[in-house]
Amino acid sequence: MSLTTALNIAQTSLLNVGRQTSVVSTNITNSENENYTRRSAALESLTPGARVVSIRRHAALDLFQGSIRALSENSAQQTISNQLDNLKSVLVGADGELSASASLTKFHDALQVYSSSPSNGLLGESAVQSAKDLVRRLNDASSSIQNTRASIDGEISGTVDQLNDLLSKFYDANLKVMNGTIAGSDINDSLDHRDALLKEISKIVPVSTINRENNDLVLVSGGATLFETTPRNVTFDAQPAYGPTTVGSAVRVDGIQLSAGTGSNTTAKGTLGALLQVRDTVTVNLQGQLDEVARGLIEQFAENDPSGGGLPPLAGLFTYPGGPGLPPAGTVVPGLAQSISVNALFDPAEGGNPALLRDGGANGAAYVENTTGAAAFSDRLIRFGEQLDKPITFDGATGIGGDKSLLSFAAGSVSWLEGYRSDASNAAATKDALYVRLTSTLTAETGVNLDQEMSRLLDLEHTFEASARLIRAVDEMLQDLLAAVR
Amino acid sequence: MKVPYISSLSISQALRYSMASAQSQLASAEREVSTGRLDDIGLTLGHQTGKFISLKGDMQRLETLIDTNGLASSRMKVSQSAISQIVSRTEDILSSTASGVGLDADQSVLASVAKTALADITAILNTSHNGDYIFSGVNSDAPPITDYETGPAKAAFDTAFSTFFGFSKDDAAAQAIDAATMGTFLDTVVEPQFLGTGWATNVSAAADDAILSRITLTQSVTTSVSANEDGFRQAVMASVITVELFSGNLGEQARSAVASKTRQLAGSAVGNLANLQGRVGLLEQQVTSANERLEAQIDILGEHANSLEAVDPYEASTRLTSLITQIETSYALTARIQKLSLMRFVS
Repeated sequence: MSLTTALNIAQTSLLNVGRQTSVVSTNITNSENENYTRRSAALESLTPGARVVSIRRHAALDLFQGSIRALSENSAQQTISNQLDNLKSVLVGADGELSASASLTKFHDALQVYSSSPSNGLLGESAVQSAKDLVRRLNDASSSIQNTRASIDGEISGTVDQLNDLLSKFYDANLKVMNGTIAGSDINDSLDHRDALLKEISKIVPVSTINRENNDLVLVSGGATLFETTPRNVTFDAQPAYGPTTVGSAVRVDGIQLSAGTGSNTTAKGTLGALLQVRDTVTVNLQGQLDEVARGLIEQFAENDPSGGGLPPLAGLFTYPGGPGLPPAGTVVPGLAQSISVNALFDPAEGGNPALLRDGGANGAAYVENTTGAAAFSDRLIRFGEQLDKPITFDGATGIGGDKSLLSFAAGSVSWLEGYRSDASNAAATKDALYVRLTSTLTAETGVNLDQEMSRLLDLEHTFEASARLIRAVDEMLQDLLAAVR
Repeated sequence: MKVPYISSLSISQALRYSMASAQSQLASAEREVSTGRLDDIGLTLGHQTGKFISLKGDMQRLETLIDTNGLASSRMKVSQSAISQIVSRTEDILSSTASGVGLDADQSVLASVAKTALADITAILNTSHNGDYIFSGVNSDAPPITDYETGPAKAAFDTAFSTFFGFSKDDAAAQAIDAATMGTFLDTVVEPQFLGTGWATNVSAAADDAILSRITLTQSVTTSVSANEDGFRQAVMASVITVELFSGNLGEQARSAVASKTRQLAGSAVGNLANLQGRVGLLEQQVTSANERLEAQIDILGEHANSLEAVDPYEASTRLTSLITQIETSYALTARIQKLSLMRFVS
């Protein structure tokens, strides 16, 4: 052991303290960074007396995997829940005032008032006006649904672009990690960056990872490969406009179709699956329900041959482009809610006669029920009012089929939407709680504790001081020795 | 024992998250306390929302029925008072014919009493209410009774008289008509003009069908009476024959036959009209009890709807208070944890 060796060790120690301090300072700088994984500088012994600093990254792999899985589920559920809030506000309103059910009730009331005083032409006009309001509500609701679908389609297209962009960034980050690993340099920052990208990607699609040599990562989503050495193409054909019969196109990852979620507590993971679910299932069901309300109206207000002479029932107050023949019973006619209209023959604004509602005969004299032209003939109006409560058969494909009255079907549509929304919102709360729980465990484990870093800094100060003192002591000893020799 | 590690970020994040969720709950609890209703009905009721909306809609529909029943009730009230006025006019004729049949002067008084009564009965039967002629049945846009003096009924009567007797009632020969012939004339010629098919041809434009009203969601009843009811026909005929045959040149015999026919008709009219009043009364009763049922239903529906949407005010305000406490605790904790740093002790 010589003094020179002691001096060398003290010098190394100073160097090591410098390195360790830089790690502490990086930690402190990133203490508020969620995507940062804490590092620690540990001393390792090589040959006796020589110590080097190695930097360790405190990653928690299992927790990270769990957290990005929860992130996928959570972002899907939040998307569903938000979209349903949207749909509720355009289709139901705060207290149901925008629902078909509310307009139907108003129309029933207008009919009832007209039936109580059928000779009053103004009441007839107001009943027709109320029918027009009802039709307008159906038309508006139907176009809101289609606008929502179109805007979801746009969102899907934007998200797909974002995903492709993220994958190409992931390519760069992955390359850096691999090169760094091969060169043996510090890859911790690159790993942080790659993990942050992985988090962003898993918001959009579910991701599972496969680790290969040199820290190369393969990303798999469902059955499709997202990234393997190079990013795979995610493709989607956006459609600018949506009608009731438009079928949206699929999202393909590396040629494989991405599946849409099902259920209010959605099976979708990632925003794309959820958006596809809303575009292709939820809104389609709601449109079908509106279409069935429209079909019910045309059917219930059809004109029958009063003589029982075998003439077919034909569309009366409510008609559609396929009229005057009635739409087939019991099956949904896509887009009917958009094309239903009040027959111009009834509409005073178009030169029509509202009294046809009282008398019948929009389809010719054979359909006139009030043959004597009596002004207070109320039988037909009363029958219409009562028919809103009589059951007809609705298509089960809309989610709420069966034998129901038009009024209760319309209310059932509100129930369907609100039930879906309520379940989705509850599921969103559960999934959000899980995600928050996992993320906070992850950040607790991998984040920076300032107090610990501070105390480590104090230790380092002491080490630095002691090493410096050591150098001075050796220096003095050497001086003494040299003085004795002189 | 493992000493768990915890990062500073996760400590502050936990507080931040709980604060955000408490504050969003606070906003909704505030609205619930101030309105007494659920903040987001659809979210809380879920699949039951449709039921809630149906309940509200049904209440609205029943209220409309009560409104429209008001119209039917007032129509029947007007009918009721119109019928009793007709009854009293008919009774006037009855009492006048009972007294003076003998003197010429009395006869002209009697004719003029009957004439006034006829005009009154016509006017009363032509009562309109809310734009409808209430005694026209479903034909409510036309007045039911054509004015006798100017309408076809008088001409038909005069023609019938001339045809039957071969001269007009003002002719001197009319003096000689005896009671039996007059009786035959009244029974076989005049009566069909009023109690038979002549009524619809010459006098009445009313429809036999009464106005149908829907008084509950499932029940419809007629809520008017037609001017074609027997009581009205008899009252009109009684006054017409009095007006016509007490003003001509008829002899005492014939007049007594007319007077007895008038008495018989008026008496029977009063009886029939009383029956009619009873029927209208029953209908009124039906509407009234329908209204009572509707109101009871509205109350029940209202209670049900309320039980779905109402928030227990004590529960809501307790929740609000505890949320406020929770947020205050969060603030205090944040402040204390911010102070809890090694930095403050190392300097």
